[in-house]
Amino acid sequence: MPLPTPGPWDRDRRRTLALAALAAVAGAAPAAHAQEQKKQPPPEFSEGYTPPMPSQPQPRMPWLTTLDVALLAAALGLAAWIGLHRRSRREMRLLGLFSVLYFGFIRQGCLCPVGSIQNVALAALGSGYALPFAAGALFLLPLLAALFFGRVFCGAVCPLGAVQDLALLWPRRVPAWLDNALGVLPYAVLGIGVLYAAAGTAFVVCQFDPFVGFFRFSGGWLAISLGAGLLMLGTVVGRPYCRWLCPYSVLLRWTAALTRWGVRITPKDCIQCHLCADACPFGAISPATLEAPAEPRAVARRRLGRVLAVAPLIVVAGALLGRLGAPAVARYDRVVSLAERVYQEETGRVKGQTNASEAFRKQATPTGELYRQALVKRRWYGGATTLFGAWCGIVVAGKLIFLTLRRRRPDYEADQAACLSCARCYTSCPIEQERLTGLRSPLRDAPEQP
Amino acid sequence: MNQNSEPATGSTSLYRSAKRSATVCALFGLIVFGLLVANTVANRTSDLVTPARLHAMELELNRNPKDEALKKRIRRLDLQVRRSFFRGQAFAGLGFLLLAGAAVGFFAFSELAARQVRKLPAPNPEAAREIEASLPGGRRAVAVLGALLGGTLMTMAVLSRHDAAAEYARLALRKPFIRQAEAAGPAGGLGPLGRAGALPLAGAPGVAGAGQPLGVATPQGGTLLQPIVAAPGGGAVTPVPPAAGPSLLKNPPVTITGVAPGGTATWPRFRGPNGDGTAGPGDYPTEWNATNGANTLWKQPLALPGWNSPIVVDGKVLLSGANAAKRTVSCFDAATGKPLWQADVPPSRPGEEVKVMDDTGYAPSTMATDGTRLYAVFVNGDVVALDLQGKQLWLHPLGMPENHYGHGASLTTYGTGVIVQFDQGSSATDNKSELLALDGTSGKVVWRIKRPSPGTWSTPIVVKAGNRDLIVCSGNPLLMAYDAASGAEVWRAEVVGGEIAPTPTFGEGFIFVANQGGNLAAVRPDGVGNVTKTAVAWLAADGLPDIVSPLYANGLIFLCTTEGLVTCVDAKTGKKVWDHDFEVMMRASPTLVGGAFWLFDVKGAAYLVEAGRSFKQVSHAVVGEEVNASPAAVEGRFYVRSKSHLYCFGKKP
Repeated sequence: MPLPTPGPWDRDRRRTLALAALAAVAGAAPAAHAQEQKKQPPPEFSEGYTPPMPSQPQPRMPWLTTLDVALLAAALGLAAWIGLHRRSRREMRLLGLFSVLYFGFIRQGCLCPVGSIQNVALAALGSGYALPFAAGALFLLPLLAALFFGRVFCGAVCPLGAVQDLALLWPRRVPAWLDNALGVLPYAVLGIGVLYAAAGTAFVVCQFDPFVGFFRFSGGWLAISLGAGLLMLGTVVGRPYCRWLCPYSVLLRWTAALTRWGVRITPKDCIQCHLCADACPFGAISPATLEAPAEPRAVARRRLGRVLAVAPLIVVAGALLGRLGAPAVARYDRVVSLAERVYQEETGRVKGQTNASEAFRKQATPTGELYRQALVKRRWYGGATTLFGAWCGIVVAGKLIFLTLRRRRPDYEADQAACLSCARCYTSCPIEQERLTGLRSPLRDAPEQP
Repeated sequence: MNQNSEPATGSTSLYRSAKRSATVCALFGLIVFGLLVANTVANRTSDLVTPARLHAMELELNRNPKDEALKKRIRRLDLQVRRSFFRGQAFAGLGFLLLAGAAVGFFAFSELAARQVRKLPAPNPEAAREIEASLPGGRRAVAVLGALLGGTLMTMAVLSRHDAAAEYARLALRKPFIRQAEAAGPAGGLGPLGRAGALPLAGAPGVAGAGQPLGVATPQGGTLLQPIVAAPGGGAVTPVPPAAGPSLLKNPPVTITGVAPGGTATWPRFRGPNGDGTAGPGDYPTEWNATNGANTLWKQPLALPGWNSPIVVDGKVLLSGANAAKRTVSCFDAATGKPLWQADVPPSRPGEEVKVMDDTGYAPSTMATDGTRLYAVFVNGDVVALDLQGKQLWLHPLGMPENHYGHGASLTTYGTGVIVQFDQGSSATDNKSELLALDGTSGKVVWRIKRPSPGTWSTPIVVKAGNRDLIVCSGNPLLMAYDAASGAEVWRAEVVGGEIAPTPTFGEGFIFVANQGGNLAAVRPDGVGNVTKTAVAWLAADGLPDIVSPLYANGLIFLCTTEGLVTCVDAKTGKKVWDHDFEVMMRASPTLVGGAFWLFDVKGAAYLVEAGRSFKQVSHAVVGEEVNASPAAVEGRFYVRSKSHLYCFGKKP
């Protein structure tokens, strides 16, 4: 039977567009659902009916929390075993499916090391907040696993990554220049997440978690739309959130870069077939460098000198811009925004009240007190946002230096920092096929690639 | 991946089946999506979910609370609204599940189809060269992204620079507060950089006292009010201890005095210089009779009616009067009663209909003076300033207040400004009530603060409590104190209730407020924030007045109801000491002269009662005309306004 003509782009595009529509639908529905829930005021029964008393949901039982942590540890161990020992892409997908179901839909995305960064930041930099055991464990376990086995958490345990992995239908490679540039974003997200968490303002990483709305069947329009868009993009571009937005990926990169027992593409000796590089949709396999560089060494050296010279300026400029932008950044804080709103109402610049300002007026806090607290917060943000700007400057400068440094790579290498331990590359390795089938690969006898 | 790779082996039929199934799932999902969107739009636009009709009917019910047919219609519509809402909820829930199923099916079938046509990877001999070639582009892209990040911060900076809302910071820019707030750490908001604290607003430090230097900007770009009478200690800004600790009541008592303009203004506002109804020094008569001329020094007819009380400044007695057609300020020589001038005050909005109750009239608010200018407010919200010769200096229209009796609060002054308690609306959440300070020279707003109160008819008092100058206002349900210079709220106590007409008073280190529907309460004035639980010494419920303001004297508080029941309460404990029913209507507030106080009934009789721990009527006097206003008591003379005359009672030589 003849095979269908493989993958003409127009067909892919049609399917991609259909998927995009569906993803948008999936995003819109829960948001609409959530929106409706807000609209209806409480009943105003006047007789013959006793409204139920509001009740607080009970906290999760401690043993269940411990069970969650144990399950996370077990899943990490299993992912490491599958990825490094079993080397099975199929089993990795099954584990990913389990993670989506349990950590995603059943636990509704709350068992989330990505968000735990903020708990740690608030405990370390804020005050009056004790880090819960579960949050600390969630934060540390994937990092420990990355230190020993690489990013097995990303491979199949993280529900955010797993759901994107399931959506990756027609992988296309992103140009290296774009991948490099977008790789700066997770650092900025990490910075802003830590900034707002340390201030006690908000856990913005959780608020704008693009997939938790799907897991909960409810969410704001912005987050849901972001999730739908990322899923749509994720059908052709591998894991866009993990690679270009996830703040936890920064920490995982740092720790995984130190691992000595991470993913090895080939189970034994490499036969230099280079098939694996094409199998990775995340650009985590680096080819060998050219033996003869395209430009003279002196030119590269002068460029490096210029970048090194400008790097401190970039950091200083970032700090300055951070300082200037502090009032706007602080406005996300509810005390600051409430103070501004109340002030506008007090001075007649706006009409009516928001829910927040109405609630404020019903409570017993003088406006002067609100203004003072808001001012203190703004001052805090002035310093913290300066540091945030400097951090962004360091990241940009660091990335520029990284892209300017010459390095020698004699052969294809899996970049342990970027490798998501998805096990895709195994299936492309003829040596791995030898291991699985017991048959000698014809590529062993093929002439060497130029 | 590489487009030149060979196709994987797969099943054509399976590929086609999977593709079609995926398409069906996608179409199904789109249909469900369309229905969900339609459901959402219908619910949003439907009057049932945004029940404007229901609200309109509820308002109608407020006007006609006994309309049973309307009640039935409301209940029926309410039921429809809720049914519609929950139907929409159920539909949305089901729709989402169907949509999720469609999405899962779509992904599963698409994956199956993709597997049939997936190409195997192939080595790219140009990979290394491509990577090398991408480096300059990578550097440029990183630089562009960095510029975008910086540009975003810069844009935010520029936008926030021009954001006038940030001006609130200027109100809080008093360094002592900031230092205290920062030191407060978790309890007071945020600590120093790197140690951000908790969010609750409670437990924060206090606000400044009087004497804020001129030039500190206010929200309107003006300056803070400057007190004319310097405070002890030179009026320096005095940090107030944070409201930490369970109670202020164990602290040493704080001294409270009235803040009066002084100078030639001997009776500058309602209830006198201190706003507490205490007569100035002088040899006052203990009896008089206007009908036979006993101790009646003079009597002058009034051109226009009004229930406001006279004020005295620079040897002149002044009062306002108005009817539906005309408004005036009248000036009489205090010594002789000779009319000196009468100034007409045209309304800011000619022809506007002003609806008032007869008991309120068109000029119920007592004027005020700072010694150099006269201020009056009328029921349509017009505040007017005149010089002592009757020349109008400015008129500031505050707009017709939403006040079902008509605006009745009197004016007071602080420094160079006139203070207006402009409460209105039917609910504390109406957000319509305000406390304003108008600049005495120009009439421009110096500051204005929203007040969480419905309409009231109570007059603010200005006191110095410790080193703080406070404007104390009674509202429903809050007695509130504001920093007199900036208008910033200092404290509030939830001790009042009902329709608020009596004016607070003070003594024994406490602010006393009393109102029918609320309490008689003693509140320490040195708190910050909500002091309901920390500064209220006691609450009492005996003899609560609804119009007449309380009087403090000799460690006792004297209350008087409109029905004439006078109650004496111990100022330290709130316990009733005695009461006496005069069985006459009384609306004028009592005036303390020496060790006794005068009460006026509406028929024109006056009673001098000893301000002691047992009831004792000292004497009796006769005006002979309806009296609702409180007298001005200056230098041995009473200036009493009746319905149609102004009287001066004093000892005849």
